[in-house]
Amino acid sequence: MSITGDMLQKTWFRRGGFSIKKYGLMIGFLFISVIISIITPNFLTPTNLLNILRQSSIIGVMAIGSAFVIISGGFDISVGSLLALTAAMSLKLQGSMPWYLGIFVVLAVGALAGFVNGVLTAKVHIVAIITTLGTMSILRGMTYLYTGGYPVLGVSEDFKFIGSGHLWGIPFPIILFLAMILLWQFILQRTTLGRYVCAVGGNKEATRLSGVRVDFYHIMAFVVGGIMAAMSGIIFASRLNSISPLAGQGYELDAIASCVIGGVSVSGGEGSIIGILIGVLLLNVVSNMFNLLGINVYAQFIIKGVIILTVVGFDSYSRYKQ
Amino acid sequence: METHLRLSNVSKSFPGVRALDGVDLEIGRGEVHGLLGENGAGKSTLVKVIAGVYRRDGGTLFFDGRERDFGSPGEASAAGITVIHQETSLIPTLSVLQNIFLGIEHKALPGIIDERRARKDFQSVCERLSFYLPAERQARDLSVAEQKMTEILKAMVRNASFIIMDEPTDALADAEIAHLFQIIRDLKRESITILYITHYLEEVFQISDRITVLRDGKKVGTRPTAELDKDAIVKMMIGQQLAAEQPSGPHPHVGAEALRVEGLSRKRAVSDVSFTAYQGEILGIAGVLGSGKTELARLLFGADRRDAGKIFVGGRLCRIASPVAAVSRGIGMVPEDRKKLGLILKHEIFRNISIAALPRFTRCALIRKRQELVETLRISKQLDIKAAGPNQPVQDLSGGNQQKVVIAKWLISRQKVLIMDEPTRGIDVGSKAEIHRIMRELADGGVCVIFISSEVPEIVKVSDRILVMQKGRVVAEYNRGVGQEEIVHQMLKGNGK
Repeated sequence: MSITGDMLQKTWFRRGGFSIKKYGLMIGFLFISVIISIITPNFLTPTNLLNILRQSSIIGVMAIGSAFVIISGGFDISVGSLLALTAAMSLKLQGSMPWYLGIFVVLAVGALAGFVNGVLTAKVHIVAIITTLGTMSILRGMTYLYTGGYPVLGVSEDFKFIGSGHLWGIPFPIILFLAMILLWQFILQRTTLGRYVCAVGGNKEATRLSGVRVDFYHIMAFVVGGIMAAMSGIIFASRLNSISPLAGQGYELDAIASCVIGGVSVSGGEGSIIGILIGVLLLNVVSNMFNLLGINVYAQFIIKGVIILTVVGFDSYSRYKQ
Repeated sequence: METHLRLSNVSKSFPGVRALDGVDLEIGRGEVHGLLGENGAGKSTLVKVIAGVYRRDGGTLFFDGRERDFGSPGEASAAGITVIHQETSLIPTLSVLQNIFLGIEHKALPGIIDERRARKDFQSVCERLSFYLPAERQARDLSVAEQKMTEILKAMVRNASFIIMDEPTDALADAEIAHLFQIIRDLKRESITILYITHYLEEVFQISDRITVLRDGKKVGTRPTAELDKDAIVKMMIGQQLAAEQPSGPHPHVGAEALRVEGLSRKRAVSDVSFTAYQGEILGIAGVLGSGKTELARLLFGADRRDAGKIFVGGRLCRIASPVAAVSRGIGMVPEDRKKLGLILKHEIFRNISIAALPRFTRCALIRKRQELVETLRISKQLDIKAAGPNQPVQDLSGGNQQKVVIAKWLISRQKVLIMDEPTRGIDVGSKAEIHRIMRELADGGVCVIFISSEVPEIVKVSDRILVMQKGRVVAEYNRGVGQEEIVHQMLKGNGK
């Protein structure tokens, strides 16, 4: 059968390319968590649900950036350290400039860190995970130097709104997170940046031979990763108003886990931002559930690991079988 | 002479292609047997059937006097058959010694390798064959000839009695070729049988006892080398009947200069190539594998860096240093390996088609998706791409349809020069004809098509003008109407003086 005009209509409505096969496991997990959440007391209270969403928003915002990096075929494990540095900066800079200017500086620092990661991988050709292993250590060290090893406190009352304020009765971080999901989903799907980032992750050499500036888009994916990590740092700082130089350790892993559970292909080239919302919620729903059921906190790490391995294992094994 | 390998009535089919059709072959022990044929004649399929990579569909195979049915390369190798491929199969980071005994290491204790015994065995084999090789050197530091020697030794310690050499001289300099031939003569003295596959006629005359020619999956004949000359072999390879297939009618209207190249060079692969291609013509570039055609294509497209030379597009000197620059000057390339270089396999058809033309569907960085889909659908229809819809991932398409997607990518971006590197490789006969038709339509529409192929029949059939490349140089130019024989002669000349 040849491609015909009436397919245009179908295609037009089927923009996302959502398939049961791809997201089946995710839906299954959601289903199970819904069942368990019904038998768990205090789960389905508005306060608890908003709580889960708010807890998800910091990792979630970071995961949006990680998704861009993974879709472009890279990996970024430096974002946890970047969160610490940017969070500390957004509080400490309040001493020398208004908080809203501080935010711009912090986002620029995030973009710069991403740019460095991008140049080292795309131009110097260091494997992404090693590049970001290096910058992870560098950024953590910079955080220690910047804070002198002590917690940093914020002074601005207005700044706290970002992490703790409410808009229309909803915690502001949730609104910010959802807005970012929509914005970046749109960018991924409807702009040249998104399209080329996907293409670079799908097959960099074929994309280069199509006349695309692949190195630029490769770097841009890391820049997005850096900006979003900085944004999560701002939310984090504003929420706590006190940042220890140890902040954000292990967050990069949660962010990557959220992407993977949300259907972003670890081999690059495929994935959606909407999926991250589900991925990050899933992680938090499970840990919330265990908290409410009074299950050991330490066991939660094990559960998290099992979830990640199940999802990725299922995906990888079915790919291998093909 | 005692028969070492005998095939009778061996056949092998792939979907849409009959790669081997009732082939009989008899090779004597200690014989050097040349195997010749054009691309697609069935040489590599035959080798794979002998070496246990493919299972034959029909026919029988006798080896060492017994009927055999090798289910895997391991079984064939255990019986004494070894293939030495064009590309090295050595592990670059291991030493010569480690490579030679890989998988069959002598053990002093379980898990402990007995290096001393390995070295002793190595010495004795080397002496027997009068080889000299540094045992401790890493394989990646060896010259190509030394790599071949290592592979031969690897076969010898495994008691190989039948060695298949697939284009062994492709990457060798003349002195190294002479050395390899000496080695082959030494092996022959040891009663080792060699099946020697090559493009180069001079080589088979120098080294082989008998020659078998394949064409279109059938055996044309086996003859003692002494009874043959070059003309006879070329005739056997291309057959007689194909003269009628050449384009007839007047030479098409040829427009202004589209692409001019002066003194293009890159390392050893391309040296001092100059030519001019015009709008509205199909310029064929013929040559065997390794003649520098693909490297030339990549230089023209800016995919590799050139060492010297100038490229003029539409009469203007252009610094084409990257594919980005080439595309912006109106040059497109259909690369030789569509899966690795031409397509993003897991992406949908429409995303693959529109990737090079995306700026046209974009306003303020926003993709106008409706326009993008309308255009990709129009092109898909024009090229008759058979698919369930534009959202189908290209990995699900047949080879011919995948190739059409690659071509569609350049059609939609309206390139003025289109370089097509082996565009019909590995696709069925019907799609092949369609791609030839598309090329002609493009040329009629004023596009300059540079058509690279190692299949002489299609080059002769489709091209308006033909350049023949050999060892990185353009050695001959022909207008349409030239005979296949002439081209094959030019392609196969040289090497192995």
